[in-house]
Amino acid sequence: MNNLTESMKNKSLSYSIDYDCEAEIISLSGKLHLVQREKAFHEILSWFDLVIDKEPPRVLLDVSNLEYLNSLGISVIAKFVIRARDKKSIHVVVKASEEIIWQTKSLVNLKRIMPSLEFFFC
Amino acid sequence: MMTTKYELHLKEFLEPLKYNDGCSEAYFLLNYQLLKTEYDKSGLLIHRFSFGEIALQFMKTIDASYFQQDLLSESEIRQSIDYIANELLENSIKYSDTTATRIKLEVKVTTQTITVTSTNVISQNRANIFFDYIRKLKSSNPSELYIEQLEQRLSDNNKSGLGLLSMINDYKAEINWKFTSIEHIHKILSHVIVRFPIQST
Repeated sequence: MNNLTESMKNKSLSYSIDYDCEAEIISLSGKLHLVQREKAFHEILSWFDLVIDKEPPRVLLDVSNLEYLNSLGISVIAKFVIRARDKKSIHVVVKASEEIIWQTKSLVNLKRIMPSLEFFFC
Repeated sequence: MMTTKYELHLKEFLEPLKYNDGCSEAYFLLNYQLLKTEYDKSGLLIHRFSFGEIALQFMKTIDASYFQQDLLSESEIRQSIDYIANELLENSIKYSDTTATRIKLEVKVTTQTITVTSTNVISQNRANIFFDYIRKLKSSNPSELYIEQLEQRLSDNNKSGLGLLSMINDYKAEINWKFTSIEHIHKILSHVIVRFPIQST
């Protein structure tokens, strides 16, 4: 099965969303500043919904190359984790980077939302 | 092209570095109308420059040995300033009164803390909404409120304030507000002052 890759380039912000539908890996890279009702916001929500609706036993969210994320972006990821938690059958693993501050500071709160969530810091 | 107007022309946008009493300050004056138009049109903020990088350069200009061993790393400081400044900037764009012309972002640096302050003009209505929010924040446990906000559905119109809560909980920031009445135009000048520690523990 082919990897589905969505790359959205913008003059000022560069980010990409990669979804490996076989291995169930969603990767977000670059810099992302989400705004309500805007394209990238809906795009990411759709990818997350798609994955959750499949109810895979395990999903890996790789943000280790996502250098910047704003607070709305963090809440979008939190919503994904909540939906996975509510499905009860999905194990979530998050791959993060020790060098990226929003991840070491804010992403770790996901564990309070879903205690079974596994972190892998690189 | 619209984007050229966001280029940081130092003498237009950036007040030269001041240094007194062991504290350095810089401020950025940003064109609200242009930022608002861009924000409404494409919903994207421009990250053409890094507030954190500029602040770091200022700190080094004052004192090349500024970064002693007991401070957080340069990377951590840069990223923290970027996060906080961008969140404050976005709030300023969203909530400024439509007649506003400028947004001011100040960065103040000492050996203990960094303070990022955003100043913008708001309406009385908006000020009342802020007062309610501040009251709620001060009477709640910020940690619990943070998790509560994260748990809420995104469709709720309750997403403002998550930025400030993340600063308090994740960046150990102290937030203060100052509101000044601008009598002749019946508006309010709002200052949001975010101070966070940069000493490594």
